[in-house]
Amino acid sequence: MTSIIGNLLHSYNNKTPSQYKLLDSFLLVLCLSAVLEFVYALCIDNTPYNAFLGSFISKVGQFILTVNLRIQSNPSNAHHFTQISPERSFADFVFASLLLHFCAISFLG
Amino acid sequence: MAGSAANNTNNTLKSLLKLFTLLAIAGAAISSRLFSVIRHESIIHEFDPWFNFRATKVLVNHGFKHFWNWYDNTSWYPLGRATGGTLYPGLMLTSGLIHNILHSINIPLDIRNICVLLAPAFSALTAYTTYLFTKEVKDARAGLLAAIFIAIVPGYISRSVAGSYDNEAIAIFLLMFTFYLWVKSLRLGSAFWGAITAMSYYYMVSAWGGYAFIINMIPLHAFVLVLMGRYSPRLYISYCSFYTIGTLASMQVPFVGFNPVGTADHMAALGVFGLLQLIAFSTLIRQHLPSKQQFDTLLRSVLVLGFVVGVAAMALASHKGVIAPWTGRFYSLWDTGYAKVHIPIVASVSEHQPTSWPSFFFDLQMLIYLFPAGVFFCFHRLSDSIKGEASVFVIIYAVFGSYFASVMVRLMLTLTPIVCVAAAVALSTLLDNYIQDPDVEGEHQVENKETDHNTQHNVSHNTSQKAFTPKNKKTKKDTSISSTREKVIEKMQEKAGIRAPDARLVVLINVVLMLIFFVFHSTWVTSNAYSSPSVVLASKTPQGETLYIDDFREAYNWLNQTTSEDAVVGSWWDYGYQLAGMAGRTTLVDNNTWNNTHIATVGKIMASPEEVSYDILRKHDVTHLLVVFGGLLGYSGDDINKFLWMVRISEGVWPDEIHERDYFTPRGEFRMDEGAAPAMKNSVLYKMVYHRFAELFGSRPAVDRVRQIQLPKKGPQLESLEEAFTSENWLVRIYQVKQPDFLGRSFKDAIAFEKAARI
Amino acid sequence: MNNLLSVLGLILFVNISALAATVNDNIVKSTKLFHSTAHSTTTYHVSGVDDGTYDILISPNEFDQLSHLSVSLKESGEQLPYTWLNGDSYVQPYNFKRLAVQLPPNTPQLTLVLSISLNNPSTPLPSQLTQDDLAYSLSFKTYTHVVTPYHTNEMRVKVRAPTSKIHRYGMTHDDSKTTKNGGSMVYGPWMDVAPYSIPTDHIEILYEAAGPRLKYEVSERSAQVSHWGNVVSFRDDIVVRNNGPSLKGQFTRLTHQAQTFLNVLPTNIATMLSVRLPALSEEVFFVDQIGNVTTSHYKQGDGHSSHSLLQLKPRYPLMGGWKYSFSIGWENSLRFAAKLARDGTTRLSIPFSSTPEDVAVDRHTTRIILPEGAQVHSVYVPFEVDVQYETTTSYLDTIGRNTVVLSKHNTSDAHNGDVTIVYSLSLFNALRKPLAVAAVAFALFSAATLLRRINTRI
Repeated sequence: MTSIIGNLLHSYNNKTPSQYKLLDSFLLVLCLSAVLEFVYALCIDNTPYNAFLGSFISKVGQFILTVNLRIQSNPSNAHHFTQISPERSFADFVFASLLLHFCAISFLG
Repeated sequence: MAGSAANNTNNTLKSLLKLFTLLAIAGAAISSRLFSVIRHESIIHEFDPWFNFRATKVLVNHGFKHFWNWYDNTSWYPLGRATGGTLYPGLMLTSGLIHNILHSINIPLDIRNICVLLAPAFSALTAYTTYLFTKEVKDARAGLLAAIFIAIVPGYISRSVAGSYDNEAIAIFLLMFTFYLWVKSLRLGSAFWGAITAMSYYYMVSAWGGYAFIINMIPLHAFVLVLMGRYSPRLYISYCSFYTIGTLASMQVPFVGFNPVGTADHMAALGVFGLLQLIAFSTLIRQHLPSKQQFDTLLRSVLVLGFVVGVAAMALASHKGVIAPWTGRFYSLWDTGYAKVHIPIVASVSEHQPTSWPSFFFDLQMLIYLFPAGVFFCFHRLSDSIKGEASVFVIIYAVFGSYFASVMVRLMLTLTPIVCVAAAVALSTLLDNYIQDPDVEGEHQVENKETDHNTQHNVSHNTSQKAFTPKNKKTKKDTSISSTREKVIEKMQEKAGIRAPDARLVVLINVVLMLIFFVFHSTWVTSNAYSSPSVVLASKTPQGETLYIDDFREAYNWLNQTTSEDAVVGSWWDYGYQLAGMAGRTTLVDNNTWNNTHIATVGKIMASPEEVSYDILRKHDVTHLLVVFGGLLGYSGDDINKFLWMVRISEGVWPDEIHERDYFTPRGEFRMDEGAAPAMKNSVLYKMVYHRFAELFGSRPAVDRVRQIQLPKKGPQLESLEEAFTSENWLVRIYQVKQPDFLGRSFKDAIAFEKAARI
Repeated sequence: MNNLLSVLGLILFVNISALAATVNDNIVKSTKLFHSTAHSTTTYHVSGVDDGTYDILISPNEFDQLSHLSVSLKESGEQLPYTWLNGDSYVQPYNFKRLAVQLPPNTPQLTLVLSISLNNPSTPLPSQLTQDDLAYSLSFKTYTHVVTPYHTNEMRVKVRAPTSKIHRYGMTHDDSKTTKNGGSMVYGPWMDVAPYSIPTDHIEILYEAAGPRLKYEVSERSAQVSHWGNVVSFRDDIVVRNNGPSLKGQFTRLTHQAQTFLNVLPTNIATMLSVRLPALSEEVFFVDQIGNVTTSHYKQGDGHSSHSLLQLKPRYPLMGGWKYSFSIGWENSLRFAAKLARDGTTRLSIPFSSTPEDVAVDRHTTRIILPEGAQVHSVYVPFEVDVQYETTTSYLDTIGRNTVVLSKHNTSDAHNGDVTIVYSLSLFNALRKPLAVAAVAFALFSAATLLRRINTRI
């Protein structure tokens, strides 16, 4: 099992371009902070509930959108996205993120 | 290049033809919904629309802020209702927005007309959306057919005639639009379209409680695709961007609140979301792992762990009550007998009854037997790498839609769009085969030397002709037949088998006839069954003149004009919205039915003897009581026929005081005549309904025309209530609750004293 | 008391009118009573006029009920101008209002006719009635004399009731000079009446009503002129109330149906209301807050008759004290209402109101909405009204439409006459709407074309 994970990390370090590593670290930060927040809400306090939900879902959403960007711009996935250029995927990313955060802010009230 | 130029013009011609066809369809959709306006007037129909209309007026007259925080203390007296937070505001905001836009460009259209015409206008949009959706499933030809079907199919018209200003009026458009956007975003794998889908979903959430259908259908579709091994990054992107933005947005609607993260109906979506994360993550890892065996080990351990943790969390959450259990209405979807036993108030609504077989044919006509064929063709199309996913969606929708529609009459509405889509797929596949033949096409082209058109042009030329065919079918049937025949004769000369000219002719004539009958049937159903406002009843005199029975408005208007503004009117809940909308008076209960106890209280008032009821009436400050009585006219939807529901609902709350058994005779009959049970005869409702009715007949025996019974010569005596108004045909009767006697006598004594004094 | 007042009047007469040699040779006042209104004509035969004016006194009661007033010459029918004098320079006994009529010059001897219309001149008795009571009465009170600032040789007061069922008609003290013939009563003649003499004696007539006593609490008309449509569209918003004795107890449909069947409906019920519309009215509607009232009849008048008849049946019978609010509307061709003058102006005639006979209106407002961009030159109304101007914005307007708002307290069918407005409309203003719509459509079209040409693809 450990060897598998070792293989994995090794392969990741070697094969992934540095832009993607940057994206991945951003994803990791988002993921960790979301988990932290969730644990906090679960164990200590989740009031006001809408504030918690708003920030938690916006983190999850941002995570998802960043993953989307990463998948769409990955040349190895290009055959899936015949109509979507990397530039287009970035535009999509910006648009969807704006929409997401607009919703989150409005939800926070 | 000449070829490409010709191709270009042909494309323009094609899109122009399509545009005109769609415009004609929109025209047909709108005009077929105007029967009621032309026959009657521009008026809001039924019951719920009156509330929506009243809420819209609040929005338009007092502004958005007031509407959002609207606390209506004229309904559910004395509790009141926090209306702003307990309604789906999408409908009102839509018409309010249209109203404001029109007024800002100085078109002072009356808000009532906007509300009345909203449903037809949106039905045109629905037709267009169905076209788009079907285009995603098959092609533009099927799309146009589907648009025609949805435009005039009675199953949809039943909820969208002019004046039927209900949530469904815009919800079906939003349903189809969201599904179309979903299928499109899935095909493209675009986060942009996913986000747009989420916005459309948000609009749907704000407009109709049926949004739960979407939030279960789309995850189900995604799940089935995963099971079929058709997971792709496109699925991940479109689903996850839709789900996160959609969930966050949907919680902005006050009435929905935290439901999307708290109730069981939304958990499937969350589960699929989690599943997709796992799959995406594992795909990523697979890229980085050299051997398949290593990956499998990892995957297995992660999946097992994830499943255990997930189930444990769900169980814990359900147990602790974090996730609300399924609601009663939901259970009644699975067990048709559930509502009757546990929630009589749901069962008492006629549109919550299971659907009868004839009504499928009545509402969908030929589409109902084209529907399975369409689903079959969708199975055929599964292998299509681009449009196969949409076919999967159609199949799932068809299966679940059929089930729900057969359980509840009103859910016929959600089935109708997919029936149209599937039927269009079936019919257009049939026409594809019989009008155009790829083999013959080739031969024909070789023979035909007079033009230098390339193949692409010829194909597109034919497609344009076909795109034209459906429209032809609708408008100029004869020319369609003749042109088809010419084409057939010209192109197919010596062919045998199923594609022989005669075979084609037979099939095509059949199809055309079917379409013609469909149009006739739809128009007939629309005009006869779905175009009555139900506020005004129209009947024909023997001389053929139209006679309007306008008793409801007569009585409501009387209340509005002659009673004091703070009058509290008690009535069975069916009339609550109309009372508030037309009479503008405070009501005890209305069609919102959120408080079962309050409704049971009204049931108790109606079912109890006067002495019991009077105290309840005084306690609730009721000044007037309204009952509907169809006995003189033969109107069967009156309060006597609803009486058993009143009894049942109040028995549910006061099992010690009200017993359904008491209202039947010892032999188990539910009678109104001489032999009625004592509890029946003493009930306030019975007394109010038949008060002085027998006197109307003079010396002849009094007959209740709904129940076809003879009534006793001596009618019931009212003591604590006095008749205040009875409409022209005795359809609506209003009673005033007397003030307590100023000498402290009982009403019986006071009446006896006055009688003696008069003599 | 009577004598004392006469003496007082005499003193006033000596003080104020000592120099005036004007004498009333004969005064006849005839009042025609209806249920909600009354029309009264007073004929003054005057001689010895020297300063060109003649003063008329209106009693405070009549002044309160007054809806319409005009003074004319009997011989020629010519309307005479008049002004209200406030009581500063004169001590007006009993709050009488004084009217100064401008007489034509050099007419020492003439016959003046004062026509007045009154709203709600009589009060119903009793004040409450049950549904079973078939009849009610109205009580009318007035002075036995016509009070004038001049010496009068002979005067008579005549009153005519709508029915001949008169329960009481005498004067309070002295009945010697009263004659009654059917529904008509004559009081007098009174000879040599001193100026300002106010008798304490009253005429009180109690007559049985033949129909309901109706009034319009609100009556608002809007008339929108459209040159493109070539029509004037009218809409009247009305609140009508049965102002008779109020209903005692409750309404019983059974009784009402029996009474209708036997044709013995109480006089205090209003089941039908007839409104006269101009002939050839089209697009007639009758609605209330909750939609069409399906129980109306419309009798279209042809080109020969002067009017069409719209019979309105309220949703429910109007019992005493009940009200009903509704709106009616119709369209008339502009051909009949407007005339194009040679100087390019348009002369528009719009009826001020269409009040049915015997209906008292508390306040009537007429809004005349002119075409967009029209300039008002003059407004002529044949009676006193408040005139205001405002701007209405309607379908696809860019600058709004000039609107003339005429309103008057207390009106009746005496005010159904035409209002005349002269206005001008330039060609540019007439074309303003199509131009605006075309401009916007063109802008949209170009925007769409532009958007199509720009490639938004990334």
